[in-house]
Amino acid sequence: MKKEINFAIYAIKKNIQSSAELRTSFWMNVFGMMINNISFVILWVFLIQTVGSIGGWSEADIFGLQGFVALVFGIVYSIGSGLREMPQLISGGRFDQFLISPKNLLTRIATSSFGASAVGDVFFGIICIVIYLFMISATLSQIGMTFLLIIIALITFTGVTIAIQSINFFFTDPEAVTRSVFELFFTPSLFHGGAFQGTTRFVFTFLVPSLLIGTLPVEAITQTSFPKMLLLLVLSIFWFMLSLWFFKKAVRKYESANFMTFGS
Amino acid sequence: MKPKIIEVKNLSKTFSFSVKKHGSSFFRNLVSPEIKTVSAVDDISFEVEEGERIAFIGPNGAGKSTTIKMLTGILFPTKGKISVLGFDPTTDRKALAYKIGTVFGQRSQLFPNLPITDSFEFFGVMYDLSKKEIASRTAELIEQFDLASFKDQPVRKLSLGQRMRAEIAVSLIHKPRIIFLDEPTIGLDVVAKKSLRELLIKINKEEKTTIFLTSHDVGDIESLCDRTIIINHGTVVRDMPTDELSKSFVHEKYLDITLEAKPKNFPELPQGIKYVQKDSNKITLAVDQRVLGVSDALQKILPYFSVSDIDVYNVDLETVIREMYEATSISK
Amino acid sequence: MIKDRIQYPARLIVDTFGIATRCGVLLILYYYIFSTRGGVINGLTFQITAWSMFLYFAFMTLRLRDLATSIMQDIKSGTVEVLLSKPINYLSYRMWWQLGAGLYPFFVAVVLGTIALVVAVGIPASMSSWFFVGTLSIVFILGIILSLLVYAVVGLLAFWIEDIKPLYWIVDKAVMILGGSYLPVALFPKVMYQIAIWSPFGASQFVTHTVYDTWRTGYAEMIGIQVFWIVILGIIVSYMFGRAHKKVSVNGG
Repeated sequence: MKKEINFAIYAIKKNIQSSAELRTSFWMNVFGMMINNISFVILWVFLIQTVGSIGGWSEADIFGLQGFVALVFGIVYSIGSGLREMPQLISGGRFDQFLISPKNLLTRIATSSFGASAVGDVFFGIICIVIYLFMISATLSQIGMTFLLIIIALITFTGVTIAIQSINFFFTDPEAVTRSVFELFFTPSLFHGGAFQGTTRFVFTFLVPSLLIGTLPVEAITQTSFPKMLLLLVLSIFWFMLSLWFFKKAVRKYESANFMTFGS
Repeated sequence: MKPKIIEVKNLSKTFSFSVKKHGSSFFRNLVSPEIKTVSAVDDISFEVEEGERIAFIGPNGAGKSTTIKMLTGILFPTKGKISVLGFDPTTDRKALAYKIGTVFGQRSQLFPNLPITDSFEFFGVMYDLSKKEIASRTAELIEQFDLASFKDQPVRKLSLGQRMRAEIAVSLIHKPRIIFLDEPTIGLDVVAKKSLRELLIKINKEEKTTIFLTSHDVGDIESLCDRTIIINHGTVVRDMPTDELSKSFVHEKYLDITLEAKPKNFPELPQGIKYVQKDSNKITLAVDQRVLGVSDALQKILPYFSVSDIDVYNVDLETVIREMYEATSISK
Repeated sequence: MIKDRIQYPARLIVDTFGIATRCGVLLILYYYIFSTRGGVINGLTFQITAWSMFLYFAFMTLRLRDLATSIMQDIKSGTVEVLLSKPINYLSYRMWWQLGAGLYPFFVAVVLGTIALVVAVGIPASMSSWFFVGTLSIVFILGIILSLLVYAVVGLLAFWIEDIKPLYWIVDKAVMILGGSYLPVALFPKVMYQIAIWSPFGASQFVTHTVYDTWRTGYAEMIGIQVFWIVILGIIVSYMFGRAHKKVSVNGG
C-alpha cells in the first residue's frame, strides 16, 4: 500500500515535469478556467436576486456549491486526468501499458497524465469555498465539516467517474456515450441546489448522484447537519465500492485494440 | 532438463463484436445488434524452457499479438490455461509483472518529452528499486545498450533505432526473467535491426533472460531465435528448432527460368518437378532432389520451353514460411 | 473529429440526448421555482420560459461552437495548409461542414422537443401567429451566421496564439450566459440585460427572445443588432483570414 502511494505521488510529479501545457500556457489556462467557472455563480446569484431565496438557498450557498463542485472536479481531473482519457487510452491501445505494470491498475491509469487546466478549477474552488465560509460566518465545527465533506465528495466523485469510464469497455466507439453519461451526472451538480425538491431531489441523490458532490455537502455545512453528512459518507463508500467492482468486471472485456486488427 | 517457465494448454481467445446492420435504425442496432465472433487464437499449446529464444511468427491476423497479450496478462483468455513463471496471468497479473519485461514495437513506453534517463528512473521506481539500484542498473544498461551518446536528449528527438534500443533497455531495468517483444524490429533499417538482434542475444547469454518475440521478419528468426513457433489462423502450424525448420526443406532446389517466348500452355511436368510460379515470361519450378537430381531435372525440362536464362538456388526460410502459410490457408 | 461525427450518426444522437436531458432537468427545476412564486416571475410565465430555453438548447444541437475547435485542430495538425491549397474557400468549407454535421440532430431535437413541449406546457399566444414564424426564421438564420462568425474569430486566432482554449471557454460561456441558456434573459438584472442585447454573444442567440411578449415591439431593433454584428465580424473574419492565408503561404513556401 505504501509503495503504491509512493509510486502514485512519484508518477504525478513526473507528469507535472513532462507536461508541455504547464510550460507554455499554464496561467492562461488557469485564468481561462476560472472565468469559465464564474458563469454559474453569476447565473444563480442573478436568479436569487430576481426571484429571491429558493429552497432556503442564499447567495453564500451558491458560492459553496460552485466551490465544492469545482474543487472536487479540479482535484480529480488534474492529478487523475488519466481517468478522463480512458476512451483514448483504450482505443489507442495505450491501456496495455497499464496492464503490464506491477502497480494498481486504477492508480496507474489515473496518474498517467496531468490535467493542467483543471488546476484552475482547484484554485477557483478554494476561493469560492473560502468566500462561502466567510459569508456564512462559519463556526469551527462547520470548517471541520467542510474538510471532511470535501474528502467525502472526492471519494464519491472519483467513484462515479470510474464507474462511468468503465462503460468504455462495453462499446466499440464509446467516447460520445461516456461523455453524455458524465454530463448527465455532472451538469445537474452545477444547478441551483435549492431548486431540487421532492422527486428531483430523490432522483439526483439516489439514482443519479449529482447532488452528492455539491448541493448536499453545502446544505450539510450551512445547516450543520450531521445526519446529512453521515448519509453522504455512506453513499460515497457505496459508490466507491460499486465502481471498483464494476471496473473489475469491465476490464475483463478489454480487447487491447484488437477489435479491428486482432493478432497483427 | 531445464525448468519450464511458460506452459500454455489449449489456449483459445475469441473476440465478439456487434456489426452495424445497414438499413436498420440506430436503436435497433443498439437493442439487438448482430453479434459476430472471431476466433483469434484457437486451442494452442506449447511450453518454453528457461533461457530459450523463441520466435513466434505468423502473418497478419494469425493470433501472435493476442497470444503474447494473454501471456502478459493484458487479455483474458476465453479458454485454456496459462502458467508463466508459475503465475496465472489472469489472476496474478501484478506479481507476474515484477518478473517479466515487455516491449511493444509500435507503442512507446518512454516519456516523449523527457530524456531516457527519466524513463529509467520512472520504471525503476515502479518496480520498487531503491535509488542506488536504479542508478547502478541504469548505468549498466546505458553502457550495455550504447545509449550514452543520446541519453540527455528528449525521446521524441531520437531515431527509431535509438528509441527501440532504449525501449528494450528500459524494459530490462528490473532484471526480468522473461522479456516479451512484439514486433521489436518493425520499421528499423538493416543496421539497426542487426544491432538490436545482437543486443538481445547478449542479454540472453549474459543475464539468462528468456526471449519471446513475435515478428514478421525472417531475419529476426534466423539470426536470433533458436526455436520457431509458426502460427496461422490461430493455430500452431509448426514448432521446431529454427535450423531444422530451414533444413526440412533443403531437399528442394528452386529453378527460375526466364523464357524467350510466352509458352502456349504450361505442360505437365515429370515426377519430382512442380510449378511454384507461372508467369508469361518467367516460371519457377521446385525440384525434389529425393526423386531426381538437378542436372537430370534440367535435361528433362529443357525440351518443354525455349529458355533464355536459368537460375538455380536453395529456398530461403522466408519462402519456406510463406509456403507454410499458404498451405494452411488453403486447407482452412 | 468532424469526419467521425458524420460517419457515426449514433454519436450525434447520443450527444443530442445529453443536451435534451440537460434541458429537461433544467425545465423541471424551473417548473418548481415558478410554482413557488405563483406562476409568474418578472412578468414571465413558465410556459414562455420553457419555450425560450428550448429554443436555446435546440440551437445548441447545431453545435456551431465546434467550428472553433475544428479550426484550432486544423491549424495545430497542419491540415489547414493542405486545405488552403485546395481550390475551395477553407472557411466556408468548414462552416458548411459544421452546419451539415449539426442539421440531423437539430431536426430530431426540434421535432421531438416541440411535441414534448406542446403536450407538457402548450403553445403560448406569442407563438401562434405568422409574425412569429416569419421573424423566427430570419433571426434563426442570422443567428447561425453570427454564431459561425463569432467562433470563426476564436478559431482563427489560433494562427497567432498557441493555446486558444482558455479564450474559447470564455467566449463560449459568454454566449451561454448572455444567450439565456440557464437563466432566461428576461430574468436578468438591468445592466446584464443591456449587455445581453448589445453584445454579439447575446445577439447570436436572439432566437430565445422570439417567444417573449416584448418581441413584437423589439424585433426590428434586435434584427438590426444582428445584422450590425454580422457586418462587423464579417469584416474582421475576412481580414484575419487574409492575414492568416499570407502567413501560411510565407511559412509554407
